[in-house]
Amino acid sequence: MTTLEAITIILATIGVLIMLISSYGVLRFPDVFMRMHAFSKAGTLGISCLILAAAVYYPEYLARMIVLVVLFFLTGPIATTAIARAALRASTPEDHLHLTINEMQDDGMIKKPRKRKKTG
Amino acid sequence: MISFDFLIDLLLGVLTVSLALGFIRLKRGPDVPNRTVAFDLITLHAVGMVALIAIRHQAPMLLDIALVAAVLGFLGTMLLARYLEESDEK
Repeated sequence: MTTLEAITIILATIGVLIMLISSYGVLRFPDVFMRMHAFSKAGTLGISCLILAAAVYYPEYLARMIVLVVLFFLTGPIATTAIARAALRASTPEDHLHLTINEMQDDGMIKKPRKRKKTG
Repeated sequence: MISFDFLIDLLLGVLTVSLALGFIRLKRGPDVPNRTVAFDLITLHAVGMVALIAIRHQAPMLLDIALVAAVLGFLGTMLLARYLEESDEK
């Protein structure tokens, strides 16, 4: 086993273990928001370690894999924030996790979605 | 001495267990946002498994498939979230 393969194995092991912890958190936590927290941070770190392992093993694909890691770091928070907004609108939290101050209740402070211009 | 391929196969097995946990959440999530989180988790696992299979079988062309799968998973998650905001799913 060469040094390159050893580095690949170490990075891939770290990534797979972090993804396993993330999945266990998604299965175990009691609320949608805790699940999203566990999934977003840990899942992004785990998949980045796996992709960097592949990039170490195939050096000619290094630039593409770095682009993929940057894409995950950019799109992960966007997707998680979108799911959080939708979950707050569409679901009820657990009984012991009720919000006493609802920051997103409709008091006129929320930006209404823009109406589309009628074409034609 | 344990071989490199055996270790990669072992990691694929552990990742399969993790994917099974995601599918359990997909089955018993009480409402649609929980299932959306599970869907996002499953797309991440698909990207990771494609990367591991590319290392295992000496096929670096599969990494392009991983890139496309990542973009498509993000688009699917955004579509589901946007649909949930507009719908009256209580």
